[in-house]
Order: sequence, then C-alpha cells, then structure tokens
Amino acid sequence: MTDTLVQMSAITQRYGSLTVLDRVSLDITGGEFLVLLGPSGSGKTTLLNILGGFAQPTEGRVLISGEDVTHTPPAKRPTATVFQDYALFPHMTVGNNVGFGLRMRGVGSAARKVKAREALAMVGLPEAFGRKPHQLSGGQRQRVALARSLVVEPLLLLLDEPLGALDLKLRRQMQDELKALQRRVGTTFVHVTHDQEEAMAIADRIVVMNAGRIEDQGTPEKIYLQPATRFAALFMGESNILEGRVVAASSGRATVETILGRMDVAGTRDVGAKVSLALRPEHIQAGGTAPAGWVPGPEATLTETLFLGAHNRARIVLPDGTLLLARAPLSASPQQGVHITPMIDANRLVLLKD
Amino acid sequence: MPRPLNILTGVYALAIYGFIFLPVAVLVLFSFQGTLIPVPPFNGPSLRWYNAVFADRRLMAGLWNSFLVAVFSSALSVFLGFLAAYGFARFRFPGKGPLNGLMTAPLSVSYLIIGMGLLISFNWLGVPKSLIAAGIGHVVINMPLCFAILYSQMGDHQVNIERAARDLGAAEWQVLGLVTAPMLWPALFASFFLSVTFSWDEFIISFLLTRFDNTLPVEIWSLLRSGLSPKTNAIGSLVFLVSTVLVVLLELTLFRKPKS
Repeated sequence: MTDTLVQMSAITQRYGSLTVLDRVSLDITGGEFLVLLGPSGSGKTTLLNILGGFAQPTEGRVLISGEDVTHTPPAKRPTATVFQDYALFPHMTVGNNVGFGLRMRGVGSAARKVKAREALAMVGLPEAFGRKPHQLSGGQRQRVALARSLVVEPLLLLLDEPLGALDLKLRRQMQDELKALQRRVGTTFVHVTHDQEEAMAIADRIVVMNAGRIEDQGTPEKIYLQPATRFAALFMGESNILEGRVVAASSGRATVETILGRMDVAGTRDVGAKVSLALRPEHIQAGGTAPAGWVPGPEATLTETLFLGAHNRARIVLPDGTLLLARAPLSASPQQGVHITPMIDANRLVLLKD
Repeated sequence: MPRPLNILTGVYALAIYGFIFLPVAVLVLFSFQGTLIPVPPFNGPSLRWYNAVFADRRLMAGLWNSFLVAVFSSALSVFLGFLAAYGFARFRFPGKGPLNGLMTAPLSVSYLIIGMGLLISFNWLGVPKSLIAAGIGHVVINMPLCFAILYSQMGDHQVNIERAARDLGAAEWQVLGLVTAPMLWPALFASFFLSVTFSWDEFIISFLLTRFDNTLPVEIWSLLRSGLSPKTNAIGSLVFLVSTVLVVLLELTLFRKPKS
C-alpha cells in the first residue's frame, strides 16, 4: 500500500479575482494519514473539496488510482467525506444514517443492518443503532459520521476539521481514536485542520498551507525541526527568526553572520546573500546550566518569564533590541531585568527558504 | 392599578373578542334553530337543518368538489413550491433576486384580479370552466405561499447534509426525496394545510372558473340568493368547523417550536 493513490497536479482555484489555490501539486500515498494544516483562508478546505468533488478546480487535474476524476461528481468518486458539522440525517436513526451509503449502492436491508452494526461497533458506539442523531453528544455524532463514511469502504476518507466543534479534552481523546482507527482500517485519511498540535498528534505527513500554496510538507518531526519556510516555522509552534548574511559557503554548508554570532548551518547559499534562520525557543536557554555542546550568545537582558509547568518561558532582549523567545529552567528562578548569557544549541538552526 | 381602569380594560377586551367572534357564534347558534328563519327568538336546539344539509345533493356534491379541489390543488402547490424553493435556496443563477420577487408577487394581487385574469386566459386558450380550472386558480394563489414558507425553512445548515447524501452516492432525486423533503416535513405539512384552508373557503376564483360542478362556497352563495335560512347557517357552521380543525393542525405543525 505504498503506491501513489492520488495525484493532484497544478491545481488552481479562482473565485472571480480571488485566487484561493495557486498551482498546488500534491501526491497522496495509499494508506497514509495526511493532514492539511493551515490558517483559515489558506485554501486547505478548498483543496479537500476538490478532492471530494464538491468543487471543480479552475485549472489542474485530480487523479485517483490513475483515473482522472477532476470533473467526476462526489457520488461517483471512491471518496467519502466527514463534515465539520457532521451532517447526519436528522430524521433518520443512527442505523439508517450509517446504512444510507449502502442503500444507495443497492445493498439489501438485512445486509445493511449487519454492516451498519459492524461499523458502529468499530467506532465504539454499538448501542446507538436505534437512536436519533439529536439524542447523541457531539463526540458520539462525530463517531456516527465516521462510521457512515467508512461503511462504504472508500479508498480515500476526507475529514473537514472533524474535531473543530469538540471541546479541547474530547478533541485530544478523539485524535488518538482517529489515529488508531486509521491504523486499523488502513484507509487513506486526508484531514484538514488549523490546530498544529492536532496535526502533529495524528499525521504521518503534514502539508502546511498558506495563501493558496504549499509552504512545507513532511513528517511532523521534519516540519517541526526542519521547517522549510518562515511561515512553516512560525505556524508550527513558536520560533525565533534571525536575519543574517552568508559570509562563507562550502559544499552544502553556509556560515551566516547573525546577531548571535557566526553560525554554521546546513544549506547552499551564495556568499553575501541575505538569509533567515529559524531557532526554536527550547534551543535558547536563558540562565542555568546548558547541555554540553551549546554555545554562548551575546549578553542579553531577561525581560519576562512565564511559568508553564514543565519549564519557564522567557523573553530576552539582545543589545541591539532584538527580542528572542527562550527557555529558562525552573530551578534557576530567574529574575526579571538581570543580565544573562543565553546558551544556544547551534545545531538546531535552520536555514529558511525565504 | 385603580379598579375602574381594570374594569374598563376588561370591557374593552370583551368588546374586541365579541366583535370578532359574535357573528360566528350567532351563525353557529342559529344553525340549531328549530323554526324556519334564523332570527331571534332562538327555538331549539334542533338538528333539522343539519339533516336538511346532509340530504341536499347539491350541497354534498359541493362539499366533495371543494374537498377534491383543495387536496389536489394544495398537493400541487406544495410540490411546485418545494421544487422552486429548492432551486432558489441551493443554486445561483442570473436574475435570482428579481425572479424570487416575482415568485411571491401574486400574494399581493387580489383574488378578483387573478380570477378575472385566469378567466380571460382560459377563454382565449379554449379551456372550459370546470373544477380543474378552479383548481389551477387555487394553485396560482397558493403556490407562492408554499414557496415562501418552504424557502424560509431551507437553511444553509441543510446544505452539508444534502452534500453528505450526494457524497454517499445519492442521485439528485434521491437527495430531494430521502433527505431534503423529510427534513422539511413540518414545513411541507404546514404549507399543505394552509393551502387547503385557503382553497376550502375561496369563493371568487371558484365562482368565476366553475360552471356545472361547483365548490361549496359557490353553492352556499347560490343558496343565499333565495334568502336566509337556518340551512345556510348549518352548512356555514360545517365549513367553519373544517377550517378550525385545519387551523389547529397548522398550529401544531408550523408554529410549534422545533425540538432541536
């Protein structure tokens, strides 16, 4: 199941003068859990609608299993969608909701019931069969919507911010269940969200979208530790962006002059080029003892610390006025206004594309 | 609050309700009159005029005709209104705003004008006066009403539910029949019974467009031409009873708060 299931090539979507998607190309591998992550207006939901057949792209093609489905209606695609508001049929019992897709495929009543019960058991709601949707809680409706989509055995399950309407605790719980469910059924999931924690928790691969383009894609670890662009670095958690200039370059490495000193990073750039580097707050330590191999930065002033449980979040100001986010150890009980020498894990610096 | 004012408001309220309901109360009361003329003094109660109504073939035929016209014209009004509302609620097309206005415009035209217009049009087209012609007239007056009710009930929250049905393989007619219509069931029911109510006691269009077979209001009108009789009171009371039942049904459907 490692073949390419979906090929989207040069998808452009325009509404009047507004370009929602700008030549987006994306391949989806069979069996993977793909997350489209981005802020509202980034085009992620439009891309999902194009996959599901609810929108037709202005330009570009969509191939599923090698077959061109760009203009195929949703009913004739091997896809099923779980909507953000669940979109259960309010006048039908849960059992009939789940059996609806099978009914449309001409499956007999008895076989439908058996399959619907199996699907409900799979999502952990076997007792809901005879109830009406309005008798269920938000999380239960979500499961029914999942069962209703999975029972027709789609090649591709599309989830449009399916956890968006749930409260935080339930959302984290459903994340785990969703991931476990995907592993069990092996169906390819494409999941849209703006919640980066959710994306990191469930995705095999994250596609970061912004302003109608793909900014970055890769495993959650890759996106977090090696973001490709400034947007990806800032959207996936917090990050410091350092401006600098390349002063030396050699086979795949560049030495960049920054406010923190000369830093050696991976990447190919010409000498003299202006570049940006990303560094996570947890790779700058304000006070206390730093792990071996970390290098000292210029003297800075600690302006603010915030207790976050596992650690302190700190803001430090460099002599030239640059503000950086850093970590302060809990044991150090740092004082605001004191001068410190921040320690930097220079290996974690990432050279950004923009 | 001072007592005299209290009494005054009570009297005023009584006068208002009396003004509205006294004529109907008098009509119903004298339908039980035992003598030949429906004027005081009241001699009764007696069911002789109800017996006379049920024995009158013309009135019974009119009752049946009214029932047929009301049911069939209302069913057609609801069907056409539902399709139109679905089109306006779910699709974009040029001239949607003005066309929407035109759909409901007949609501503000008097029945007399609509009746005369239809009479002239049917004459010109060679359509004979009949119950069918009257039924078409009732569709003209009731379809805009059904459209307005159903259109107001088709919200955006149902769009995703219909998409879900399509996504699961439903053809367009299956979406309409299995999802959209059942979700709108109370509104469909209400617009049907509202149409039946209006069709049931509509006079002028039926009067202009029928000839040999007449609806009940037209029969009552011809009965009234030969003077007052407790028999007209009795049939009037029956018409009123049916209308009341329909209004109560409406109250229970359209104006009831939805559960969730």
